[in-house]
Amino acid sequence: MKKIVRWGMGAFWLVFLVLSSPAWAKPLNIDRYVIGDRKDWGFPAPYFHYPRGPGYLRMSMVFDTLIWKDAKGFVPMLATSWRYEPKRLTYTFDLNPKARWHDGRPVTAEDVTFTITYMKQHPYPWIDLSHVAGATAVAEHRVVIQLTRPYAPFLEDVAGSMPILPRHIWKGTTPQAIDRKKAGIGCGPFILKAYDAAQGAYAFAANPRYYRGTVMVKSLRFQKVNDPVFALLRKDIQAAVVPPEAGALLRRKGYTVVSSPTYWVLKLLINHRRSPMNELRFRRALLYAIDRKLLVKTVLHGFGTVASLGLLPPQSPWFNPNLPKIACDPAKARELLKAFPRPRPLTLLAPGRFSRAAERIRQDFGRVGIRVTVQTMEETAIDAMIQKGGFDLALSGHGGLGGDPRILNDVIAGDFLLSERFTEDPRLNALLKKNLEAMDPKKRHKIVDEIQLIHARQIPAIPLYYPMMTVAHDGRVPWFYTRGGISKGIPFPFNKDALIRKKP
Amino acid sequence: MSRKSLRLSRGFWWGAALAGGILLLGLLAPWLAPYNPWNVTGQPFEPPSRAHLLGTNDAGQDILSELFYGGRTSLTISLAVAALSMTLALFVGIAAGVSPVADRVLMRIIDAFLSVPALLIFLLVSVHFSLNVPRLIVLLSLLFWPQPARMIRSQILSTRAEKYVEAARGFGATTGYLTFRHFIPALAPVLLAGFLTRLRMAVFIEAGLAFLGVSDPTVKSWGTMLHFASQYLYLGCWANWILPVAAGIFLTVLGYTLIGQALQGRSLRGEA
Amino acid sequence: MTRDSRTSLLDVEDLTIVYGETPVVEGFSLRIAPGEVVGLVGESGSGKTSIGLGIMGLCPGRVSGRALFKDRDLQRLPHDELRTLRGDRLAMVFQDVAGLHPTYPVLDQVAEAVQVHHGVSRAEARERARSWLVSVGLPEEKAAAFPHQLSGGERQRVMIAMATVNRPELLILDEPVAFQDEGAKGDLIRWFRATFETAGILLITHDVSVALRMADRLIILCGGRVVEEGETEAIIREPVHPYTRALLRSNVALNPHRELIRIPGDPTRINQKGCPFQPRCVQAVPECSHARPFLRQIHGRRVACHRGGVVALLTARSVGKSFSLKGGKVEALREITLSIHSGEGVALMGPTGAGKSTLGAILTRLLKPDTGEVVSDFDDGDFRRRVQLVHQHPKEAISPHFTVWETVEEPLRIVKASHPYNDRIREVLREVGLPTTKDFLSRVAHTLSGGELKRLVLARALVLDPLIIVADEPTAGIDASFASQILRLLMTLQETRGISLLVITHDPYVAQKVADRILYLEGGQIKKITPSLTPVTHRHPAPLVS
Ligand SMILES: Nc1ncnc2c1ncn2[C@@H]1O[C@H](COP(=O)(O)OP(=O)(O)O)[C@@H](O)[C@H]1O
Ligand code: SF4
Ligand SMILES: [Mg+2]
Repeated sequence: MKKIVRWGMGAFWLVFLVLSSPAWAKPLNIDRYVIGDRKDWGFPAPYFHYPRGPGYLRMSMVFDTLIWKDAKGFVPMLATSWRYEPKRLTYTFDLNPKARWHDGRPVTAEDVTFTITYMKQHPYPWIDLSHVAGATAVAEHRVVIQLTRPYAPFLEDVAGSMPILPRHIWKGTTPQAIDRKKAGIGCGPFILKAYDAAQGAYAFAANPRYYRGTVMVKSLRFQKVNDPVFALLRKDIQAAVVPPEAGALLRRKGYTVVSSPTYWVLKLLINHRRSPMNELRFRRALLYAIDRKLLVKTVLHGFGTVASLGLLPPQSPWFNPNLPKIACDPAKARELLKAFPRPRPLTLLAPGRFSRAAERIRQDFGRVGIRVTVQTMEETAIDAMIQKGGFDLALSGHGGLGGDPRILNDVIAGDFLLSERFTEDPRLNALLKKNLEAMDPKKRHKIVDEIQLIHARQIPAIPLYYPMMTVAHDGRVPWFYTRGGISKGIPFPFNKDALIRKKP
Repeated sequence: MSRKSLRLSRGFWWGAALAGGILLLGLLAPWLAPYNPWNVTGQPFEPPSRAHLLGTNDAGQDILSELFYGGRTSLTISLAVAALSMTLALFVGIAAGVSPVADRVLMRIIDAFLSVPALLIFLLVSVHFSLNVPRLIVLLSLLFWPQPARMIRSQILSTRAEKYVEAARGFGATTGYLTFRHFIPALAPVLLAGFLTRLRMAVFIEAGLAFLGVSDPTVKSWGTMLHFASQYLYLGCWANWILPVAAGIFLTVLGYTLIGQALQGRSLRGEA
Repeated sequence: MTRDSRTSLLDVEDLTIVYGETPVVEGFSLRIAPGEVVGLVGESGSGKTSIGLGIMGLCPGRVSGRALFKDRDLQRLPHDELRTLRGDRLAMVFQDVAGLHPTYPVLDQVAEAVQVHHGVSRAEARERARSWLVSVGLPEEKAAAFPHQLSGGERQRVMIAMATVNRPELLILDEPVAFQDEGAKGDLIRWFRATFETAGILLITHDVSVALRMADRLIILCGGRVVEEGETEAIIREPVHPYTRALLRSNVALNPHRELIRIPGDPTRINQKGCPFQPRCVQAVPECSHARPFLRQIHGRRVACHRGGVVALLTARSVGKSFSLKGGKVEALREITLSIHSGEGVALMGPTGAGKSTLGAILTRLLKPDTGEVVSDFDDGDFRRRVQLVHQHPKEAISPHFTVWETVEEPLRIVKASHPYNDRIREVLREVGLPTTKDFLSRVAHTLSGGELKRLVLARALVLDPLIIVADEPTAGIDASFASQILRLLMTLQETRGISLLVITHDPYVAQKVADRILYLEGGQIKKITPSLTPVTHRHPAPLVS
């Protein structure tokens, strides 16, 4: 009886397992799957893709990292296991011995150590290795990585983000000199078949010998399309990020439409090194002048939320809910501006895609007596001007807010392209420093809370809103949202793990 | 040409009425428009209603008001571009037509200008500069002058070969005299045709560039209206949003074309 | 001229004749050898008769200077000695045919001239007189007639017979054939030459064609002053003094084809201080009005002109021009040398493509020659005013934008002439025979008729007071009556303004009508030059129209 019960329990458990796992429930075997996008994102290999989320995502189909993330958290990838030794400041990774490069050679610990050395020598914009001293291959499939100091974001930012390079291909060459054909060889679930920059077309074929399981899509493509909504309706593509406004329509047409936080914020960057923005009072006036709610309504059409002045969104585990919430108050703004009789006209740099927001801000500021001229430019040009400090106001956004709060260091005071470069507050500087070193989660929480508070008070930039991302797909692939975003917080659902039936 | 009977075809009057009417609408935009087109005066994507005769756009702004202000921009740009480019063309054309040395240099420059793909220039420039109205005017003018400059030059060269110019030279006429008294009057048909063509082209290209998002989208123009509308095509808002704008562009261009054809036909008859 | 008293029959030195306060002849000198005929030519009133009378000692005015007949000073000769000489060795045929005695038959009057000097019997005298009258050409039966029974021509023959019946050694003939018809003129001229082969003759005439047929040398008199003196044929072929040329051009017999050109201006206006021709001379310079020009040796003759005679206004020297075409080089003109003289008419003829218009453009400095040069009598600044090209196709040469007023105004504006333009514009329009109403002036030029346009371009060319007009095919493509109007207009302009004309034409009749000289251009070179002036030589007088 007991046995029967045990068997029964077991059978039930099995059935439950089978039924509950979507892969098992509906065994996937897709010949061709096209993900649409409006842009090209560069050759899908480290150093070559554009250093933005979608570029990394495409590269990640070909290159694997040591560990990865799924909906719940870290999962093994090239490394089957890992551990941290706080005293020695080392991470030890055991590699999956079955892992093979696309050309058939095995992936070894040497490849990992090579990657770290190579990337220290040729910095790869996506990965910061300044806190990594080096790596040693202690066995064929075991590697020890030595940190220079405690570094909290290591697992997410390095182990979970750094694509491992095949040593036999990259050795002795530079990213500038390497043969393009070979640069596309990785050990990931897909093999790069073709890439056409002009068409923004990427063709990947399933890697038949993938070490972590069966790749369920034979041919995966990314394709540039003019209008993802129409492309979906025409069935040219099977999945795409779509404007949220189109969600209702697509849902009616039978598409699976999912909205999710993007961990992305649109900010009004303020050149706080220039007069009069160098005065807190003026920046506060700006903050009061902007009707951020109206912005969400008219620019996002409600598909988003007003941003927290501490930058981190409510969905982040690091979000500080106790920050001052400042609503639009033109009267207050005018009051504050009395100290600035006849302020000079300001220019607002805005990429074309934020022109509606720019238009609103111009109107809002105009209402309180600050003349704003909008200059719309290509984003890269604006980025360059921001970096040089050659601007008054600029509209700029960045993601990465769902992952490790190290992002605050990058975007508030770091050298990151779109950083606010705010280093005036010594207390903030100290906290940011501690933020990277605190390995104890509780202590770190306090630090991160305070960083957010100072940001909200000093307003080196005005966080405007968090848009929502809406993805529509035909429902065949069980796309999921990666915890904190793919890699360092890429908010797309296109995690390659959704396409792999893992070996038991 | 001058002092000829001022009998003009019906096409001219239609064209003048169209162009003039649209110009008037543009000029009177602040008084005609029911709302400030930059203010949020409704919910986004409102269908036409009493409050908003053409509904509202994605930003909750009144489309009818946008239409008036947008026409103003299109007309300003087209008139300014036509005037500026033709002025430039006139100077260059005359210089080239009058001085063989200048001619050689200027023709090279013109060839260079003509061989550059225009859209590329716009894209390149728009990467580094905000393509606001003044810049757009300058840029379009820079792209528009070479062709009429060439036409002006060849007209001057052919006028120069005229016996009456030879006669004037026989009386000791200076280049300056010839230019003002003979070359420029003879240019009238070329200038007129060039001006109207450039007006037309400017309306089209402004709309096209704005539509592509190359020029400054915060400027209210017919092109930017199309630019935004095109992003929400799936919402089915073409009837109250795209159609009026397209009609505005079409009628403006039609107006210029009619005027141009009427005047050109007349000057051809006049020269015959 | 060297003085050789042995061979000279008459020597006049520094003869000056004053009537009242007016000097009509000044510093006249003359030498006639036996057998020599000297023509004294000038307009009427120039003092020819006075000179004749002065030599004869018959002049009513105050005469100074010397007149030596065979070394005897006629002025100082005792009265009866002079009377013996006169009518015998020395005779004058008077201009005035009314000089005969009205109540005696003409035979008696001639016989008396024989009797007075030779003391022969009355019958013999009458006999001689009769045969002499017959040889002069009076019909025998008319010898007994009274003067009033004779025609002017017959009376003139009687006068000639009276003066010559004694076979004088020196004969002064004052307009001897003025009353004769053309045939009789020739007969008389031949008779004189045959009869007085060894005598000296001073032929006074206003008619160059008569002088041409009789005289070996010509003396051209203008306002009582000698302006040119030289061999007859040389003078006819190439008159040097402007006045001489004017005389020649106004002579009908010399210009059977060519349009006659009156000497411009009023012949009674004579400059007493400077050059007598100055008030009418188109090439006068300031000096001409106050300084007297003296006779100087020029071109093998003597000329009194400050500018050395007719000046070349425009001279092309070895002008060459070639055009580069796709196929190579075309030599349009080669080594062209020519001059256009003040006031003359030149026709440039030649087949199409001969380079006529190119030459026209080069002469008007609209085109630069490759080789050679064009020099002008004008300052460079004045060139454009003084030389005008009249285009063949007036419509092409007028801006389609211009009104009549603007068309004519243009040259004034270009040379920045002083205002007001109004009078000048109206004046030239009247001159070419166009209306000057406000309506007409404000018409667009291109709406005028072809004929009006031709006149309009001419008016435009005239408004700057040009001295040379180059007319390119002025009559091409227009009907004959209209062409003749245009030609007459051109000639009138030449006459009234003394303008030099270069007419480019392919029509030989046009060329003959307007030109003193015709140039034939062929293959870029001047092939021949024909003086349109047809000299009628005295040896072989041309058959004249009856
Ligand atoms: N007896 C006179 N008294 C005054 N003036 C005279 C007299 N005879 C001629 N004249 C004037 O002298 C000038 C020369 O006249 P004349 O010798 O008859 O010229 P031509 O013979 O050349 O016609 C004329 O102006 C004329 O009027
Ligand atoms: S140029 Fe003088 S000197 Fe000679 S003819 Fe004329 S006016 Fe007399
Ligand atoms: Mg006389």
